[in-house]
Amino acid sequence: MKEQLILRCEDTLDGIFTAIFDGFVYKNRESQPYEDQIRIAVGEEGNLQLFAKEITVETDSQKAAKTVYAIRTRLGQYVYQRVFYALCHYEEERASVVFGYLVRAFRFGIRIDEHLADSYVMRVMELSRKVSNECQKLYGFLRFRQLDQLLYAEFEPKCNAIPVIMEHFEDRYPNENFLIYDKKRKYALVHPAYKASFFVQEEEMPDIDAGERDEFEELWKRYFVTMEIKDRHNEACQGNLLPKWYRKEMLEFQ
Amino acid sequence: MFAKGRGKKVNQIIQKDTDLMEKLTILSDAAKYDVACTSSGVERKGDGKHLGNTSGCGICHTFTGDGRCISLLKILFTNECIYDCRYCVNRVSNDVRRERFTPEEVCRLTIEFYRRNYIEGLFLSSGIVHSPDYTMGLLYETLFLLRNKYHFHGYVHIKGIPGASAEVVEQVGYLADRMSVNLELPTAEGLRTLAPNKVRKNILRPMRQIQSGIKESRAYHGITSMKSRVSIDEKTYYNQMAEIADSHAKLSDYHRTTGILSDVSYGTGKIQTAAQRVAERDWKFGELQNTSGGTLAHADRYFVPAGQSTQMIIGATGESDYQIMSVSEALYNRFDMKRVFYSAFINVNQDAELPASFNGPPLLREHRLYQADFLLRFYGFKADELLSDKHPNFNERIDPKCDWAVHHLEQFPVEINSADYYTLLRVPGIGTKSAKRILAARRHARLDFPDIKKMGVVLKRALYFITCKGRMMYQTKLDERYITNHLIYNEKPAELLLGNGQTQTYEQMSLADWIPLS
Repeated sequence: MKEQLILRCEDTLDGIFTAIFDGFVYKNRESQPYEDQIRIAVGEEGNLQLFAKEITVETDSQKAAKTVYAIRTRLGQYVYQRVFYALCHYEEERASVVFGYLVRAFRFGIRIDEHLADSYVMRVMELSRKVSNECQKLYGFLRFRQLDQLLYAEFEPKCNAIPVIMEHFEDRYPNENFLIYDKKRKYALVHPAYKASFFVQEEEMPDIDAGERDEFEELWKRYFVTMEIKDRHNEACQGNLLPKWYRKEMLEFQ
Repeated sequence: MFAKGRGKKVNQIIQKDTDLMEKLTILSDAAKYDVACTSSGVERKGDGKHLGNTSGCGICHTFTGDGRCISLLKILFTNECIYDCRYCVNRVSNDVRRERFTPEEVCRLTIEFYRRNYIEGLFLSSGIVHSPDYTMGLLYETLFLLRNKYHFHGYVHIKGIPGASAEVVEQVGYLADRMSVNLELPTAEGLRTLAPNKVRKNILRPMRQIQSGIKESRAYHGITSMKSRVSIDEKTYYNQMAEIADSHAKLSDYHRTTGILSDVSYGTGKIQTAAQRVAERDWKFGELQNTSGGTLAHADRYFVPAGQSTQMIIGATGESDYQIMSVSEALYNRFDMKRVFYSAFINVNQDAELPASFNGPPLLREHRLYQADFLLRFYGFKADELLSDKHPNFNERIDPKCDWAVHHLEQFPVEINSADYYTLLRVPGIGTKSAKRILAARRHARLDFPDIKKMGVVLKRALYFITCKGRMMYQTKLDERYITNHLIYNEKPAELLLGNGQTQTYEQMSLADWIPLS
């Protein structure tokens, strides 16, 4: 077995794309056939590995932009979306898996997704499917509250959902000031009406005064209860379609 | 056109000045027995200025304790009604409190719920006040306000009131995303006895009008296919589509050779299958005149872009599953329905002449009908393949596809690496997604059981019917009883338990088992 090379990078999309850029540089330096010996580790520190060389990668937005540009132009929007979704997963190995996938994608071309029998392609498909499924649910399950200045939503997604779902909500509420806060990753998306939205870290967030429930929140809770047909009561079915961990932030279950 | 009139006051007392909370409670309670709550079928981006967009696959916003999704704000405009349908909570002879929204109230509720991301849009239906036309006018007024004063661009589903005039249906169609006219009951006979005020013609006429309206509007906008989503998936590649098209031609040949599709009058819309005869005998769809959809009055807009749907109540009259499936098939073929919904009958009025539901509503039957419905729409099955006059009801213990497969063992096992699309789809445990993944992946590698398992094939059902690289997964017998027992055991182990805790899937060994199957 060849010596492993571990690239350690910051836990942001930019950080990972920089590491992917560097990964390809190291890979292309190799004179022998490449055998998946480059891995990308995300975050501060993991277990140190025997027989592995570790290199820390400095986040460089230019390199990241180049990587994204190369994927989008040479492999197409569809593959880029696959990669993007997979990187929003919480799996620790996600960056390594995506790197392996991209190595194959640049070799086989745009129709890489047909190679489902390959383990890297399969893994990326699984990761992106998980993210896409969770976000599909969050489109519906996210709840906004009417505060003085803005619509406010907080949630605790398993995957890094905001980058995926933001486009949908910007498109839906162009005329609203809204803020979506990820309690787990401690950052928020702010969207001022009719303007471009931006991210803020927890420290920079405006003070949120939760206040009383308003009329429409009460109406919604009542509506939710009345809609059930008691003769058909079926909690197992409800639980399958709306698992309990989503319900924490949902008004009708509070 | 929509003159204000006063509804008939037949023991219908309307309280003045009830607050919104009570109105919402009463009018959503009265609407909840309507089945469809889908927000799918139309993908429309926001306009960058106003509230709302729609998503092609639909979005569920929450699920109630009965496991049904809430996607739209499903309310009645009013629960006053001049009709007396036996199965309906809002019938005129029921002594319940009657309420009526104002159009402004409906709009405010929709907008405020939508802003908080509770709902995907509005599903507005109504009891019939004064006359069908007047009622439809009220719905139009509300919708007009919602679209033009509140600039709401989200999803709207409007019930077509049977008997409403063509003009008002057309006006509503240009503002709504989906329209539905309820067939109510699977047989015309049932409709006559249970809903005496609703006439077959009054239901079918607006259905046909909406269908032609959609067709003309789509043609005007350059979209020719009515069933664009059945076999075309944007992400699939063209050659895969060609493969599927080939496979579909083979399927039609198969239907002809087995006599399910008679070739006498193909394409003219005349009777082709036995199931069509059954549906025709009852509903006489053929008598219906082809109408023009309308005047293309608002050519810049789409007419009912998300298509039309309908629903019927299951288990209130004595119809068989075969009759129901025949009618559904006819509705899909002759009216281009997006969906037909089935609603298990609940005797809400405790009406002595209707079947009492001691064991709850017939949910399993409803489930089987939905399974079969998907087989019709996506899997290339015909109603006559699943059921027949001699075998008119679905098997309670295994699903319709498994049931079909164990009765057609001569067509199995199927080789995963070479079978065409519709042949793969006929294998229990393989769905449209996994079948398409198989088509894509086998171009590059020979697939084996672990591969197809990862692609989403349910092996515990599929293993009896498939081979990979010429081998079956285990040595199993291709025997109807043996496979049936195993399939039942997969789903409900308890059903096959014998008294002593053993299961029937094990049987007395016989010498025949040791003779290799040739």
